[in-house]
Amino acid sequence: MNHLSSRYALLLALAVAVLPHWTRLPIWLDVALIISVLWRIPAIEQRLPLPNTWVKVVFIVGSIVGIKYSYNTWFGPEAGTSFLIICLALKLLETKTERDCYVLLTLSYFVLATQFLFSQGLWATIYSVFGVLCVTAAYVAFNQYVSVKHALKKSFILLAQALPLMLILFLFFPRLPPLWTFKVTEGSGKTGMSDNMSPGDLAKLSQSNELAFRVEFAEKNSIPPKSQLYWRGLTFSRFDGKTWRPSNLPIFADDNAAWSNYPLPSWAETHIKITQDKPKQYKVILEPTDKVWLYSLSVPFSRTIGVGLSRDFRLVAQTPVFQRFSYDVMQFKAIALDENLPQRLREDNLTLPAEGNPIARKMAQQWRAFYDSDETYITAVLAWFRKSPFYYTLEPPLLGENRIDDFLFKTKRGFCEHYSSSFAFLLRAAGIPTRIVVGYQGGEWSPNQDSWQVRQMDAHAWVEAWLPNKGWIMLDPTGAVAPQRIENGMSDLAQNVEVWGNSPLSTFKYNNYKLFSQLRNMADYINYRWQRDIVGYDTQNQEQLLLKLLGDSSVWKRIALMFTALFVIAGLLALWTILKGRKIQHPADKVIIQLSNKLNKRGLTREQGEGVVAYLQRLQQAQPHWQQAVEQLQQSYMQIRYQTQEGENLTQLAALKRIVRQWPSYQAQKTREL
Amino acid sequence: MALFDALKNNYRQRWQNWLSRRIPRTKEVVLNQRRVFIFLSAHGGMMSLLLLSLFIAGINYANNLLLGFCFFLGSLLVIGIHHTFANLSGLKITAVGGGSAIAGDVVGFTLRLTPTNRRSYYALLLEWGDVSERIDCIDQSLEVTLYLRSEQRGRFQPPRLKMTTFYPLGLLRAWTWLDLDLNAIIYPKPIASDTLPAGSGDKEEAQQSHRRRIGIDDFEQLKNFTAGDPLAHVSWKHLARGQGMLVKTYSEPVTGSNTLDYQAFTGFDKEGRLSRLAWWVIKLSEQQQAFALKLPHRTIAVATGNTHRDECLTALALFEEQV
Repeated sequence: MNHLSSRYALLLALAVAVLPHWTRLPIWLDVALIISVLWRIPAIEQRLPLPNTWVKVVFIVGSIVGIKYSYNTWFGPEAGTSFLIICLALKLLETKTERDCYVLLTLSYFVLATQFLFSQGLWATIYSVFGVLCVTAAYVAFNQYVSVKHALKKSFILLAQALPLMLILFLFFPRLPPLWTFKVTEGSGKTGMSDNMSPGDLAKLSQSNELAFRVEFAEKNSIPPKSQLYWRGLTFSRFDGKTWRPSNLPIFADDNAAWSNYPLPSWAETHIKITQDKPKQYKVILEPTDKVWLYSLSVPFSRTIGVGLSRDFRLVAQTPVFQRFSYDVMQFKAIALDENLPQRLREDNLTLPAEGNPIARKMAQQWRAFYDSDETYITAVLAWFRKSPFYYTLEPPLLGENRIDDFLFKTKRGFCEHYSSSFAFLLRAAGIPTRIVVGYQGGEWSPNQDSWQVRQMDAHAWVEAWLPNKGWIMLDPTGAVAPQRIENGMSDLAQNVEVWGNSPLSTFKYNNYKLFSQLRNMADYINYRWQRDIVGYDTQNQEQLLLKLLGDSSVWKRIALMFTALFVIAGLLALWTILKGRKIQHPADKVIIQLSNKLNKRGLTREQGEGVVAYLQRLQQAQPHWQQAVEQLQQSYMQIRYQTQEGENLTQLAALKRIVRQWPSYQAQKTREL
Repeated sequence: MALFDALKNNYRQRWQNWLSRRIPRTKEVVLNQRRVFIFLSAHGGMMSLLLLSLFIAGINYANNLLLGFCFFLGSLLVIGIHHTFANLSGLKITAVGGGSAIAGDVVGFTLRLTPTNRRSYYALLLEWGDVSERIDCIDQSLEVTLYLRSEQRGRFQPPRLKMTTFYPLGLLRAWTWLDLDLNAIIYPKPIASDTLPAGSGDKEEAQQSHRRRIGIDDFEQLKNFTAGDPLAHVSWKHLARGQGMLVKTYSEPVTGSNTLDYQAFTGFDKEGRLSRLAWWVIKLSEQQQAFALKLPHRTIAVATGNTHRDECLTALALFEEQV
């Protein structure tokens, strides 16, 4: 590849590296990038001079101001990545020497890596592997004068060989604690629920593998199925069209809560109707949240000092939880909660913004008029969620001004936040008091089965609707769309595999439909496993896996094993590199080489490019008394090499070897002359 | 400073000794792990810094994919070691030969690069001091001639040849220092001289043999003109007399008078004499005159032609050579 085209390859590699950041960057930065690329393209062939110092100074000062303006800070991942990309654009405009190009390529790797600060999904990873392939190919192509095809092929081989080493490092390399801690953005550095639900909040949590809390059930055998483990944290009643916030009614104030060490307030007697069954007991060990709300299954009550039951039937702490905090909970079975809904609560849970989302409003009113009860209406809406092509994804497209309408009728892609929010909207619009509940759903046994673990990625949002005579009932529209989010996906999947595997032809269509929904489930499941096993591979997971693999927890043994594995792989690759290109020699030729080596000290080696016959002739001239041996050897050699069939020549080869072994001795020239 | 210099010299001496044990002077060498050195290039250093910062970021944000990315690039660097090494290893370098030139001119040294396997070799850089040659691809035997500037007369042995490659990533540099058994003959720089350093010659031999050859000194005879004879030698007098176009031929005795004799100079030192002899050798060869060369320990008999000239110049070049 010549100099120019290697520069174009470089430009392409840069584009691949920057692409995943494109939508995340502020518009002015995208524009600046386009300008620098558009400037660079003609400048490659020197049809346009590169910008002078003043242009660059304006560029950099403008960008620094721009970052402050766009992000309100110069630090943190977003601002840092933007700054890195500005450096890339600027470097592009002053790239002249070979060294500059290498700086650009190194920056491209860096930019490619930073996308993991924002997205750790499977697709981001696959894209970044593709990006590494491109940038590596640009490295190969750059100044090596090889073709693009060669560069890509070489890059592929290099990366394919690097893969096993990488896997071993990933698996074995000890996960160290952070060298220093820093608040990523303003506000609390803790990951966890916040006291409102804005678009994207829960999606962020879903990508964190951090432990939220642990639960120890008193009776391990009788824990509720996973699909019923809705750990309530907060309820939201106020909605402004975008963000859900907790109710600000005075009845939710602290002094109205039922505190464990105080007499029960009157509402607790009148508004909670429970069965006489023995309550289930469990203990929650909550990781620090810096917040007052606690997580529990409905309907909870706690005897732990400093824990109270709020008016919306969830547990709260008297002081924010700054340290790990454990509390005992009793779970009662409810007959009805708020059988009679106070007027103020009712209004609070029916209010919608005066304007916006006209389609959803109209649909709610028309449907409610069509169905004769609230219950049938709710069932119909849930069925609609189930049957329409809604798609569960953690990276939904952006929504416009009428978020609910956009989501329900246009994009149809989102996660629990979208489903619960729009479902609550449809219910409120039909006159059914509804609120959003956020908390966690599900969890899993710790590997040694001693406690139930709930992680940040189990964060979930669902809905509670109030029906006359029944009180608050729990509804989960996400469960209608992506049941595997609620159930354990795999067992469900296996059953279904069987179903469509043995299906007769008549049910082909049905199964086809099934297959698509299965694929959707599968993608979701793969994403879940990806988040859990790869993104969430932490010290604890590593410990367990290696314990299982090695049956030993010695750190030194582990590191020794890691290095051994690395060296073995590297050694095998080295061996392969050396052996791969070896010339394959005919056994008869090997014998001739043997002879040549034998005569080396007499100065009678075979010359570069000298044919075997010519070489033997020369030997004969040099030492006439070798004539007989030379003739035998030549005849034998010719026979093996050019006449016999495969397989017949073993005995002849032995004869050939014998001739060389019994080669007559060298006679010095002097004695011959005398 | 003196101590520092001494240490530096000592270190350099030890390095040279070590190198000459490890890669001795040879006519032919196949590169292998004994002879190839490998280390990060400057860009590789930059890459290592990137890896370090990715590692720190990965740990601090507890970001597994960032760590994985860092491990991937780190592994790529390690794999790169194999590939960069393989781009020199297995290459056979044969010293084909050195040319000859006048002191101060450039002289060519020819090498043959042959892969001993079925691989191709890319982007090799050959360096001999400040002379360098880039080779894009070798898949068969390839001869390369590099031109080095010569300094003084004698046998010119080039310094160690440095072969470098950055292929495939440019992040690693593999190189070797080869001491190839090559030499070029550097002739003394000619200095013009007006008096022919004609030696007394071997009188006895000259008188006995009476051999003569075509020359410019003595008129010998007239012969008929044939095409190609110099017009200056045409005997115009005979032509005017109507006796036809005749040409005068000259001859000279093959005697010591045509011998360039080292001892015939006065007032020059050894190099001065050799330079002037070289000038005469070139001058007489251009005029296609025969001459002999007499040096204190060696005499080259009378002859003409390029071979003769080269033989004489070589004798001058290697005169009392300090090896």
